Amino acid sequence: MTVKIVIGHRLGKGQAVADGVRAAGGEPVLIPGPGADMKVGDVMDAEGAQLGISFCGSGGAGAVTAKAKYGHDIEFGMRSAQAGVAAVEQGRTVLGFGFLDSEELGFKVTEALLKKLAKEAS
Amino acid sequence: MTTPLIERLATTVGDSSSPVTDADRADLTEFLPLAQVYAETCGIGFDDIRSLALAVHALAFVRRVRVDEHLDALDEELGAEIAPGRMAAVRTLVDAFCAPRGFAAHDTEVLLLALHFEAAAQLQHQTSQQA
Repeated sequence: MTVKIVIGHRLGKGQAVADGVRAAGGEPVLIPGPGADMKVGDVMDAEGAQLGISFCGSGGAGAVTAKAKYGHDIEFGMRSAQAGVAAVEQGRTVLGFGFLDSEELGFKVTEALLKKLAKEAS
Repeated sequence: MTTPLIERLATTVGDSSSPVTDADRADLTEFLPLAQVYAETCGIGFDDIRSLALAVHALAFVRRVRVDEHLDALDEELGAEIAPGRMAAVRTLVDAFCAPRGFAAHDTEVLLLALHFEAAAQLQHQTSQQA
């Protein structure tokens, strides 16, 4: 099973998260450039992605934008990979974090999503 | 006391694990008008989406102030993205909210809020050029 995960970072980063997504077997779509967090919903829509991860100082702008424009189920203001895993398990489709560009986050969130989708498919 | 923007924010994050509380509403009712006055002074218009993004940032900010939490420092080069004079003006508005609460906001808070204004200003500039 392949999952596409969109990553948008306010400061144009997110490469480490993308590496983590890839390492866990997902397909990352890293939005380039500053202000990318605000485009997560748009790119998810264009790419048909299953999950979006947005990063900004307070961890909310990209997530609420995705909810307002596309009705995604969101969690925001998160500061750890574990919080992201819990959000995925609860069925959130856009996750808003503070500035956390870590491979661990990308890996664990992808792993949780794959596990959830496999369970739903069985 | 509340405003349509605060209620829109409350609806948007209502089913998250950290919905808007009465304490949040009280703080946002004080803080958001300060931000609005600054935006009007600079001639920056916020569309619906940018307003919501600013509001959710403000929500996280007022919560940090209440629990005396400070964010890690950011790359100082980010300041180069900000229009001249904006950092000082945003510092004034941040301090207007924080000082009565005994919270000494670090430059990171000022920079993050200034980036919201800068993004809105740049979007407005792009839109007016396309029109």
